Amino acid sequence: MEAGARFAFLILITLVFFSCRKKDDPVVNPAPDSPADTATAGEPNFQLRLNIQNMAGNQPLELEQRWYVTENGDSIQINEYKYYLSNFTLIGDSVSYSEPESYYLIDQKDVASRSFTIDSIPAGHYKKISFLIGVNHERNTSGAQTGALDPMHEMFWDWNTGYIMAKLEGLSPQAGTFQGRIAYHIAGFSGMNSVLRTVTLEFPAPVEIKDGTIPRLAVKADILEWFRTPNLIKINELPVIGNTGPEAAKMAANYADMFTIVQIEP
Amino acid sequence: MKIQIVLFVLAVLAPAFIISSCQPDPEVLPERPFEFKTPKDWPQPFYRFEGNTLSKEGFDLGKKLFFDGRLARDNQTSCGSCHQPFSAFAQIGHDFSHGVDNRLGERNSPGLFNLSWHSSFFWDGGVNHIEIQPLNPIQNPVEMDEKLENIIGKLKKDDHYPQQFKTVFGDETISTQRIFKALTQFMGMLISDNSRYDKYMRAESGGALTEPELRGLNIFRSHCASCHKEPLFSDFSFRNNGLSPGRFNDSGRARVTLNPEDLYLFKVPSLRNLRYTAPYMHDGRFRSLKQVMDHYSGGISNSPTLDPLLKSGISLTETEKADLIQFLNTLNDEDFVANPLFQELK
Repeated sequence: MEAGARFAFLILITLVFFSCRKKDDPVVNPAPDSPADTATAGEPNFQLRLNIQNMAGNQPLELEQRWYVTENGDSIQINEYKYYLSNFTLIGDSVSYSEPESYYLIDQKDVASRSFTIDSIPAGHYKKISFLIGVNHERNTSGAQTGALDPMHEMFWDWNTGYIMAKLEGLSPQAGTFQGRIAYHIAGFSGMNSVLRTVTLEFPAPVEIKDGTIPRLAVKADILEWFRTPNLIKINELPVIGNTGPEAAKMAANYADMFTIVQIEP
Repeated sequence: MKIQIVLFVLAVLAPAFIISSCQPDPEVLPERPFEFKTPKDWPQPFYRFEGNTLSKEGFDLGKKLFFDGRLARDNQTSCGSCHQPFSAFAQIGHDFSHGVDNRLGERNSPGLFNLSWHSSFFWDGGVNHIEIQPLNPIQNPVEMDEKLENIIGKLKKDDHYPQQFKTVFGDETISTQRIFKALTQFMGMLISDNSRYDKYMRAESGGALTEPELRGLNIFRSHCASCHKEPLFSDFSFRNNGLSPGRFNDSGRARVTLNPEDLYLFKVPSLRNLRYTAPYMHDGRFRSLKQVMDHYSGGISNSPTLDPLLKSGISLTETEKADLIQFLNTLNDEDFVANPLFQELK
């Protein structure tokens, strides 16, 4: 008897609850604004952990504290250093994997930004990793973005559309500018003006992606390469880059080879 | 006995309970289907709301943001300050508009309509997508001069915005992307296609053109239409139309491309709604259409980047100028500027 009443009440509650889903959840347009979660529950999720170490020569880069000397003998101090790495691809003999929604903003001010994990990698042995320095053409031409690509990160031009692929700001007594400031905003995503550079790094030995272990890849990035090869930069001649063009392309050619693998922990 | 009473009470109360708890919320349910329609015989728009599904709620949110001064540092200067509905979303009577702290810009605030057909924005075309167009005036020191993170902070504190974002996007998160997408739902829906010219083209009632207007249409088609292409009245190209460099020596498109061939090139503006959008040109130097006619017929300033079509100006008699002006006035869309859907909600 009591059980019957309780049962009837349960039905009533259920009815009310389900009949009002629309009110509780008035979603007109679930916007596709968050990166798709490609890992499906239950499936093993094979991963690779990356750590980017910004260096100046052989020393860890420090902002606003240390002076460094470029290839040309100019002194520089860095107070802002950010760049995009994107479109990560792992390549093996019989397997390869390109990460979807693969956009990372490396910010020297934010330790957490320098370590990230590539998810959902197919199991296998991989020999090299490649990525883009910058943000690909498509994301420069398809409207409002979010996450690492949010214009709030101040890596986006509002007057000449495009992401600042890499930004280096600081001081140099050789600059001859107001307060000796240097500022390199490297942008340009199409045609002659493109500064997009693909980096491919070969692993010293194949890396196995498998269940139960996450290999850790440490990559160093030497900021002094910006000023070294193939284009020797003299800061008194080029203290600022603020538009697309040959100078930005020159700088991109320089920093394209600043990455080297320092360590792989299987 | 006891259970019968319980069941009886339930039977009576349940429907009432269900109905009362499920009254449609007028703020939530769409009033009517809301869609973007390409006007008859118009080309396909450049922007098609891909990844930004149109809804009345999204449009309303965009409209609210458009007229909200909190998008500016002074909490007063909204998009609508320099883009007023009665002025076809230009600012009538202003060569340059006032931003925060009464700071003046250096380019004339253009009318906003039929933006979904534009593949570039601003007089120099520097911005390539309607969704990110608002970023420039928001961050520009002489316009709204505000930081995106400040705007998000202000909107989060509002009593209504979080719920509105939830209704449109699924949860209460307020992000720059959602702000831009909502603004675009409003801006992209500002379609002006009901001038007397449009009715004439559709052979509708109210679409009769007078003799001088028809003569003006013919003059327009032989002298102006190659750049001011129908039905949008622009080909959206960049051209030097023979204006002498103004007081700011604005280099135009070259400011973005750094290409000397782009010096003094500006985006060809639409000729719709001229009655509401004076003064004219990128720097608002001409206060009347007569001055514009006189420029093209006898005021062209030669320079290496002058558009070849204007090398010898456009030869027009005074009567032809008057006819042309009469025709241009058939492009004024009273329905557009008075459309209740586009007015600020007070």
